[in-house]
Amino acid sequence: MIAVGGAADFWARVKDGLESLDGPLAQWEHAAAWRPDAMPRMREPADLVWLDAQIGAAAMEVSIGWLESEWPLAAMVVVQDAPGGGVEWMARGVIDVILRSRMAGASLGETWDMVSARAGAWRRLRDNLARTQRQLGAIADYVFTVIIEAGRPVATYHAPGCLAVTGYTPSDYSADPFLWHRMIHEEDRPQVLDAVNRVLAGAPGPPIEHRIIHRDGSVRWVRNSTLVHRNAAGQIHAYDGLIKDITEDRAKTEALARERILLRTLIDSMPDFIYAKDMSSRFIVANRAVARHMGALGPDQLLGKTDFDFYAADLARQYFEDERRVLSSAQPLISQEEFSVDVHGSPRWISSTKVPLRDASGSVTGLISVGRDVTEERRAQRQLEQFFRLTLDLLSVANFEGRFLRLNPAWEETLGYSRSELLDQPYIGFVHPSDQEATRAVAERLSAGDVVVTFENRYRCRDGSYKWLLWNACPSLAERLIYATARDITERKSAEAELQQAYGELAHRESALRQALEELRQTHRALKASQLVLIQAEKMESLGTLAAGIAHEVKNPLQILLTGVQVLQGQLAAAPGPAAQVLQDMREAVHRADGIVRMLLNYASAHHLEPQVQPLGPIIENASGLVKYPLQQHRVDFEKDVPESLPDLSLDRAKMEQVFVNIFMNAIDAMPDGGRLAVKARAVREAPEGLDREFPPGAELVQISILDTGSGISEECLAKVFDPFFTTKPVGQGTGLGLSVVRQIITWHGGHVRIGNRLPRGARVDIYLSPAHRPSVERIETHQEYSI
Amino acid sequence: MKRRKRILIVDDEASLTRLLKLSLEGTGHYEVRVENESAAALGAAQEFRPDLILLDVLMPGLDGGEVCHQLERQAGGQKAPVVFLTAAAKKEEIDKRGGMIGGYPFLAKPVDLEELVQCIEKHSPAPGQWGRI
Repeated sequence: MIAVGGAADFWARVKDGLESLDGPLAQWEHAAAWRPDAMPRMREPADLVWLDAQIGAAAMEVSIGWLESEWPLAAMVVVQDAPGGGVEWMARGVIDVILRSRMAGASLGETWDMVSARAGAWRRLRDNLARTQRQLGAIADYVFTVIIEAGRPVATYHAPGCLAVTGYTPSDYSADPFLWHRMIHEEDRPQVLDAVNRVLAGAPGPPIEHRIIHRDGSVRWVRNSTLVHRNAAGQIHAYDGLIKDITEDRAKTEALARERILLRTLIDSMPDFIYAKDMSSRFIVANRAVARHMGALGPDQLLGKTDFDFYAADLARQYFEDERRVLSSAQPLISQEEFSVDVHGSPRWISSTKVPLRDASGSVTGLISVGRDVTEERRAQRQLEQFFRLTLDLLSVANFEGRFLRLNPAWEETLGYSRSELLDQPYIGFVHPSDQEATRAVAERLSAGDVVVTFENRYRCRDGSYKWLLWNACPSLAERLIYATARDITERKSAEAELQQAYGELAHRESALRQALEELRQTHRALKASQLVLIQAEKMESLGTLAAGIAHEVKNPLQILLTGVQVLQGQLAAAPGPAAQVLQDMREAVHRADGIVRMLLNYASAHHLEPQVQPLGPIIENASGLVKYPLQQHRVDFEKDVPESLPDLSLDRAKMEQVFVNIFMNAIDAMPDGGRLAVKARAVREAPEGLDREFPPGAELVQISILDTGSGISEECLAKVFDPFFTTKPVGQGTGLGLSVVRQIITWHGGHVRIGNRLPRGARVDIYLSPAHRPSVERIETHQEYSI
Repeated sequence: MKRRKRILIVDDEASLTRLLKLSLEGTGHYEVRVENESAAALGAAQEFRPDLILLDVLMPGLDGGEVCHQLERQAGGQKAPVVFLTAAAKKEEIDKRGGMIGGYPFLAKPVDLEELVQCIEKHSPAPGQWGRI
């Protein structure tokens, strides 16, 4: 407890009196004058401070200001000598004003009881306030007082609340008389000074709002209200400024304004029709979309109006009734499609939701409606439905569990089942048994999220037949649905199959054609070969005809010569001299000429080959017999090695004899001084090199070799030995036809003949014949016969 | 002395027939008459009554075959044997057929006197056989 001011003895008596009432005081201090510097030295703030009015009004103010700021829990009681001014002190936070006379004697007890009770009440009030303020988080306002003398401010007192609002203590303001001015936001200073000037001029204005810079640098908004104190003369001697921190309020207001703008922008930018109406169906809120739809210039034009102001009466009536139902039933109307007409008179479909609007107490005060123009959607939907109904393709929606959920009428047309039949059972039951596995696999892929294109399977029709369907399908994983379209490709399939078959046939025919072509080629080759043979035969025939003509013409003279020679020989048989020898030579010459003519006929004429299957041995034997004389004449040894085991050959005996005779004669002519002539025949399995193409591989052949020890054949002659009329023999000894005839006869027998040299000397002729072959000459028979 | 066989030679080649007559008659066994016109052969055969007729095949006018045919008709199967002498057939051909073509003996020109004589002897009957009949 502290007493400030007043006489020391007075306050000593008060102390004694109080101690006599309540016992010793826990704390007592008396200061003759206000000494703020002394106060803080006290270890604890006092709970009660007596302020003796003798210290003067100014000191009182300072004291009260300090106490409010520093010791807010201290209750202040003013003691004064005369009554009056109590209300003002009370307004400044003093809890009681006591007359000095009440501080002594028996009154002291009553005074103390009253002060104690009041201080208790004040403290509780203070505690509550403090708690509230703590809860609010800040002290929102404070008061400052400006003392004015002669129209000028002379002192300023800031209440302790200034600390919370501005961050500065009352002492800071006391120490710096211009702090309050600096504290004001630079931009707002003119406004504040203007307000101050108006106060000083005696005409205070309304509260102003301005910014201050808090000690921590933050900007705060305050409302500054002024209360003017005038003396009895009506002059202003002081004014109070009430500073109220409105930063939060302003922030809230601004936020609210922002929110309003936000919401407004939001609903105005929505294409949906949003409006609110009151109980009489008058617009209280509407967005731009509504205004546009209804033909109003802006949302504001709708406010207070009803649908009757915009729509035809019956339509407006219908809306009105709808709204009435919502308002009276208090039940929302959700996603109801309603017909409407836009400002151009075009019919529109609106899907709207209307909900009752309630006030804080829950009573219905109107309705809110959100609507959407679904005209395009409905049109698209309707078109989709039309297409769904009209398309020839099979459209379906199926679930992941294997059932159709929706099918278009094409299904009925195509398969013959009704849609309810198709929806009735899992679709796999309609799939061809051979296609079910593949179909299940595709369904699984779809369930896994794959898109399936160009899948084919067969579906059973009501009549038991099957149709080929070509599918495109895609799944919707969220819905667990499969959307699929199928096309009946049965006809295409069968066309494809036919095509395939036709193609196959074509390919088959092509190969047959190729084969035929190949056969034709072979035939052509064969024909060509035959033709060559025929041409050769033709040549021979011409030669034969010529030869036959010549023969007749030549042979008659020969006959004359021969006969003549013989006549002469008969007559001159005994004549001496060379006549007999001359005639003999002439006779031989005639025979030789005859031989040449005959050879020519033989060579040139076409022949009947008269083959017979026979052994080779006797033919060679016979031929060697025909050359027996020349062999002996030329002292040539003849050897024959022809095994009897050789297969029989199909041979024209006479012609083969001629072959051997011709070869033998050539050999003999090549050995004028004697030698050896050998004939060897062997069965062989392999045609010799160069002839391997002329005989079937692996066929049995008979090789007949005629070997001599003669002069051999020169290289240049080897190539020509088979040419007709080629001869190396002296004139008169060879016709040049011997080996040509040999080759021709062997060829007619289907065989081949080769001539070569032997080492160290001699020539060899090899003849190859197939056993029991069909003589080729039969096929080129020219039927040439000579008349005789 | 045995009567010489009468041989009629019909051939258009006069030099040949002259020489054949010379050489055949030179053997001393034959009496030879020559006819160079084939058309005259029939009259000659009738007049001469040969034991054998040596007939050329290719002749102007009637050929040998034709002459042979007419001889046969004229004689009614009693004609003299015919040997054809030809330059057109090959000796090998004739040999292959045993010297016979169409039932007639054939000789290919040029033919040796020995061969001709053999052939005549082989096919002619004893002398005068035809003449007697």
